[in-house]
Formats: sequence, structure tokens, C-alpha cells
Amino acid sequence: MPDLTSAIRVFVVEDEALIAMELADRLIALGHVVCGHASRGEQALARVPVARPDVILMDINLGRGPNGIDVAELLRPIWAAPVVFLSAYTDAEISERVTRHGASAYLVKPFRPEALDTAIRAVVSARPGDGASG
Amino acid sequence: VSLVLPPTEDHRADPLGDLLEDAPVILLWLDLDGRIERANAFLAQLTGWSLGELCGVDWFDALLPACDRETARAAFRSGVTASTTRDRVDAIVTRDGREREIEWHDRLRLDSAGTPMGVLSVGVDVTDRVKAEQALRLRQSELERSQEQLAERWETERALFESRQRFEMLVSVSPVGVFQTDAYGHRTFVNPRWCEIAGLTPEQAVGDGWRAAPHSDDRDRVVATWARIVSEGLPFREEYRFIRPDGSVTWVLGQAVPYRGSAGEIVGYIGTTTDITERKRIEDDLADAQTRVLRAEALAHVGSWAWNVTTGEMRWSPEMYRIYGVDPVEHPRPASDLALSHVHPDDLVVATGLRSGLLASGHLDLVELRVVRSDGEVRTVRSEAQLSRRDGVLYGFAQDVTDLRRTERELRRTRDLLLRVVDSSPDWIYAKDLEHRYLLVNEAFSRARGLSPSQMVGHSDTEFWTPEECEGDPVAGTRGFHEDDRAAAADQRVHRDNLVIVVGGAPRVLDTYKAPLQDEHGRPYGVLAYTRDVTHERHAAAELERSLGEKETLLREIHHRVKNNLQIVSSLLYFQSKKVRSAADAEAFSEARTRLLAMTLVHEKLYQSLELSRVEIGDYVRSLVAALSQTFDAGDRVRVDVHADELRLPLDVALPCGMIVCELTTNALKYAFPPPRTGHTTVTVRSVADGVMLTVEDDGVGFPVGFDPLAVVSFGWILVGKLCEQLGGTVVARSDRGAHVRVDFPCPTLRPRYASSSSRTRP
Repeated sequence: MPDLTSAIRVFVVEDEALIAMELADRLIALGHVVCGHASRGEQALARVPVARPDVILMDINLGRGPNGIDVAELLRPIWAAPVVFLSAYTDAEISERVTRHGASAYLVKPFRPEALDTAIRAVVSARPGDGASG
Repeated sequence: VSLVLPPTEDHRADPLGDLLEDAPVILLWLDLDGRIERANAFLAQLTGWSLGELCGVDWFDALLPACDRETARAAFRSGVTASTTRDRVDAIVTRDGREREIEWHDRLRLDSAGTPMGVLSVGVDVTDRVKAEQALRLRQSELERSQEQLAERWETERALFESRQRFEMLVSVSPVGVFQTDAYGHRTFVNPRWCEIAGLTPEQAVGDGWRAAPHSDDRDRVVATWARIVSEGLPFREEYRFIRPDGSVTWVLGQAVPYRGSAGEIVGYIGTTTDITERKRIEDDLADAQTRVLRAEALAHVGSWAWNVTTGEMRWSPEMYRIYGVDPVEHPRPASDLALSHVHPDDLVVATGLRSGLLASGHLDLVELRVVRSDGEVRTVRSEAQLSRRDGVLYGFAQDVTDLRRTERELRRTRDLLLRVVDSSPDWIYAKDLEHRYLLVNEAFSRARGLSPSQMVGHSDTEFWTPEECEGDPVAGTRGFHEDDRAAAADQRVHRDNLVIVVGGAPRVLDTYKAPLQDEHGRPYGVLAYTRDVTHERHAAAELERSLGEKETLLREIHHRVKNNLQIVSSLLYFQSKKVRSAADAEAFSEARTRLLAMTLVHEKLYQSLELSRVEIGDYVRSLVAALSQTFDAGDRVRVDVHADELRLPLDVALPCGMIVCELTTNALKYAFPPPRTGHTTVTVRSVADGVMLTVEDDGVGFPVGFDPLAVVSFGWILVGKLCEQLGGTVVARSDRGAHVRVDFPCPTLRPRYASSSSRTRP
């Protein structure tokens, strides 16, 4: 189990700046470190390897361009951090793809901050060292 | 011998006188009155009267046979007055009544003054000579007669012999059966042919044995007739059948006549039996043929007539009467101009001319004339006629072609109409035979090729299409056409769309349908094709699709943007809420964010839906309920079930509906199950008669006693009331082992998805 005191580095992929702000605010309130933010897929591909997060918080719907799941799959060979997907709705196809993605969580908005925290800690503890080795 | 001389004469002795007195000839002197004046002894000797008795008596009364007397007297008188003499043989009667034939030579005696004095006659007794001559003549005539009789008899016998011989020969070789009977009708003789026809031996046939020969159906009649004619002595004539022992049936004509003896009595019958089977068969065949001809005439509306121009006799077949509407009872022997009298006035001149031509040439070619029937109906009749060289009779036929001509006219009209329809089509309509030669080409098609239909019909399509022109065809060139032709001819419906063919230098998009052409036996003889130039439509459809796609994308973007904006609002509220101090204010912000969730989700669902204007209510409510459950962290305590019909609701209905669900579910999650209580909440959305029934119910603590949702001042319930009002619906809340809220609202445009899809039909 990871040390609850140690800060988890979280990278936020969210196309809406204010929502990203809220997410960051909530993560910080939960004691995590927001190590980076991207509003689009390409940005994420460029920034994640630099930010070296422990976990990626990925909004599935990124507006135009590839969706969050596609971006996560493109990221995996570059930076294999676990991903917590955020979606506004439950969708069987997305659920199935997310499950196939491995050590990932899927949160339906709106979620309680506690649920977010639980999800982040769960995926990080399931793949300890992944973030450091990447 | 004494000679009495008249007293006035000179009595001198005379030697000639003596001689005359003694000569064996009669010398007689009569006075003018016929009295004997003087006679010689030979007269006395011959007659037995004495001279004295004779002298002075009337010659005629005394010596002539009574039958000759007056004739002789008259002759004497006329001889005396005419001073004539005569030579003749007359009979005289002797005293004993015998007659003697005397040859007389008379001389009238005149006195010196020339006055007659009397008649001097010399008579020679020729009785013996006359008798001898008579006997001789008798003998001669007897001889002659007997000779004639002899010759006659000989001839008769010879003829009889020949006749019998000929009869027997004839009978033996006769092609007809011959029989002979006695006066009672019993067979006494049958010839071989009779036996052959009857199938009986001569022995079997004699007597009444012949009765076995007639067919059982005819036997009683024949036997009865035979008995009757025999008893009445009449001739016999009957037609009947013989049945031979081998079962074969022969039609015969039996005839018999009585023959009579010398006294006129019937001594028997002689008869013939003729095999008329062939004649009967021909008669039957003829009758059958006649029946068939009449039936055929009636079926074909063909009447026939025969006109013997020489005798003027005209005969019509029954169909002739029907065609002309003439009563056969009124006109059993139709007048020769009866048909002409029925000709339509407008055709009468032509008809009269044709009739003259027929009489002159003996021939009438097929001609059609209008005929006015007796009932006034006008019919079209086709006629022809020909003089028979065999019997000199004109034979003619008349056919009622009114219906035929009417059908032809209608057919032609229908065909013209069809061709007009085909030709007026802007689409290409054409037909090809199995060799791909055009059978029919409409104007649109030929015009597209820059030709006329007649330039294409009969030619193969390969003459009009080059492979370069057909490069859009999956199979290059006309081979593709031909494959389609074969498929269509094999009874497959062929539809090839979006075929690009170069027509008149420009590529055209063509839709072609092909169907088989089949004859009356269902055998294909070609294909019928229908090609539409859809270039414009395709371009327009593509343009429309592109435009629609653009608009759809735009709409999706808008919904997405609205959703994002609402989320941004939610985030803004989040940041705002961080500034408030009191828990009540924080709760107010939280409630506002929850309400925004219902709005956010509806737009999310909209931009994900195919329709972009309607939301699948079950999907929406499930997402909403799941989010609420998450928000209130109720997953462990309260299970929320959603039962929803498949309903697609427009945005203006779905959003208030979702907000009502949001309020009621939030209430249930927040208040119905105070910890540690757990339970169920059920959200139901049902399609009812002309609207929607929405219920939210739980098995929690229920409403407080006396709770009236419309009277409370809670913002949540006010919101429910107002939204319900906006929907034109009603809300009912009650407690029954938990809270039950039911909202009914109309939705006129609502149709279950399955119903709307199944009720739509293709045009």
C-alpha cells in the first residue's frame, strides 16, 4: 500500500479550463500534486512524459480530436501510468474499453471527492513502481 | 224341160234358144218391177221350184235370203234407172232352204225406142267353187296361225330360258342379297350374298329362320312390318340392322314386292337386302360433319349460303339468320336479295356493285360491309363467295366481325396509349430480345443516343455503346449489360444503381431496372428495361447529405458546448461556494450544482443521440439517477431502480421531466432513509394513453403527516409544481409504506419507437 502521506503526482487531461481548475483544486485539497495539465490529446502526449505523473486523470470527452481512451492508448507506450477516466455518463462500450485498458478506474461525473481519492489511490497501489520506472 | 217365154215374144223354135234352155246356167228375165218374166229350166232344177211357180213372182221375195233382199232390190232399181249392168256373186235360196252362190252377169234390155223393158241376167252356180275357195282359205289361215303360234312359243321359251338363266346368274353374283318367299312370307330361297350379309347359312335362313338376323333393337319392328305387309299384299321397304354371330353389325335396306300367278293371286315375294352400312356411316358422318359445321359457324360467327342462280333457290345456314337478325321461320326460303336489303344505306351502292360483279365473274373477294339487322343493330359483316363449277351454285360465307373489329380497335387504342405513355416518359424505356437486339425503344432513349427509335429497333446494343462509354460499368462495355439481361431473363429482378455511363460526351449516373419478358408459356424471350438518369438527383442528394451532415455536426457542437458551459457554470459555483461561510449556503450551492447536473446530462444525451432533437428517456434517467446516487454517496444504503419504457422525448419535455426526477430522487436519497435505514427507490417512466406517467417511490420513512406537496414552501417542491405545470401535467404525492409521487403529463407527439418504425411503409 502506498504511503498515505506521500503525495501522488496527478496529470489532468481536461479540455475545459475551469473544470480542469476545479479538478486540480479538489486534488490539491485531497493532498495530491497536480504535476501537469493538458486540454487536448496532442498536448497530453507531449506533456505527460515530461511531467512524469503517477496517475493520469483523463476526461473521456475531449471535444474535437481523439477521445480520452484513444489518448490513453497512445500514451501507454510513452508513459505507462495508470489512468482514471472521467465521464459524464455510463456507457457499456466505454466501460468495456476502460476495463481492457488494465489498471484503470472509471468515474462517472459528478463524483464525490472521496470517490476520486479512492480511485486514484486504488490504481496507483495496484501498479506500484510503474510511475517511477516509466 | 219346158221354157216359159213371155207371151209377147216370138215363140219360134230356135236352136240357140234350146241350148240356152238346157245349158247349166241360169237365164233370167226380170221386168222393171223385179218380177220374173221368164227363166230357164236350170233355174227350176236348181231351186226346186217349177217354172210355172216361178213365173210372175217377185224375184227378190221368192229367191233371195231375207238379209240380202232389200239391198239387192235397191241395187236393182238404181241399176234399172241408171241403165247400168253389174257382175257379182249373190246367194239364192232353194225351195228346201239351201243357199246357192250364183255369179251374175246382168244386161239391161231396151226396146227399139231405147226405153228399158227389163233386165236379162245370166247366172252361173259357183257354189262349189266358192266353198272350195273358202275351205282353201280357211286351211291356209289355219296353217299360218299355227306357224305363228309355233314361232311365238319357241321365242317365249327361249326368252324364258334366257331370263331364268340370267336371273340365276345375276342372283348368284348379285352384290345385294336376294330372297324369295312363298305367299305366306316364308323364305324359300336366299342367295349367297344374303347369307353373307346376314351371317346365316341358306339352311338357317329358310322358313322363319331369317328372323335371327335382325339386330335385337330392330327385330320386333321388322318382323311385325313383314307380317303386316304379307297379310295386306303390300310391298316391303325397311331400314334396319343385321347382327352377325361374330357380333358385327350391318345396316341393311330390305325391299320386297309380291309376284302374282296367272290369275292375279300373290304366289310369293321376291326381295333384296342391301348392305347400307357404308351409306349409313357416310350419312352419320355427314350428319356429324353438318353438326360440327353448324357449331363451328355459330362459334366463329360464320354463316354460309348457297344460291342457285338458275332456279333462284337460296339457302341460308342458321348462323346467317343470326348474323342478319332474320327470323328463319319467317324466311324459310330467303329471297335472293334478302341479304342486300339488310346492307347499311351508306354501303348499298358498293354492295350492289359487288353483287353484279359476283354474278358476272362468279367470284367475290373478301369484303366488309355494314349490315343493319332486323332489330336495328349495325354489325360489320365480312363476306366472300365463289361459283361452284361442279353444280353451278354460288356458295358464300358471311362472318360477323363486329366484335373482332371492336376488339382490334380497342387493342390498337390501348397499344397507342401504351406507346404514348412509354414515349412521353423522360426515363429510358426499352426492351431487348435474348440476342440483345432492341425490340422497343422509347423517344427519351433514342434521343439520348441522337437517333430515332426506328434506327435502333432490330439492332444489337453493341452497335450503340462502346467500352469507353461504359467504363463506369463494373464489367466493362456491353458485357455488363448482357449479364444483367441474362439475369433478368432468368427471372431475377435486376436493379443496378449508380451506373456511370458516358452519354453524349458527359458522364451520367443511371439507375436501371430490368424484368423478364415472357411468352404465354412463361418462357423468356427478352428483357424489359427502365433506366432513369439520376445524375441530378444523386448530386442533389449528395449535396443535401453533406449539408445535413454539416448541420448535424453544428448541432452536436452546440449541444456539447451547452453541456460544457453548464459544467463550467457548475465549476464556477464550486469556486463560489468555497467563499461561503455557513453550511446552509454551501448546501444551497450544492443543490444548484445537482440541478445543473440534470441539465448537463440532457445535452450530453442529445449530442450523443442520432436524432439530436429527442432523448431516450430511460437512458437519460438511468444516467441521472446513477449520478445522483454517486453525489449523495447513497450506493450502499439505497438501491435505485429505473423502469422506463422506450420513449424518445423532445428536449422541451425531457428537460423538465429530468429535473422533476432529479428533485424527487434527491428528496428520496436525502430524506427517506435516515441512517442506518436502507431501502429501495424506484423511478418509473411509462407511456400511457396520450402521455407519460412518471413515478418516484421509495420504501423509506414517507412524508410527514399532513404533507401537501403543493402547499409546502420548499424550493424543490415549488420547482416540481412549476415544471409539472409547464408540462401541463398533474402531481400527486402520498405516503404508503414510503413516499409515492406520481406525475402525469401529456405528450401528444409521443409515439413508441417500435410503433412509429413499424407503421411506416415504403412509398
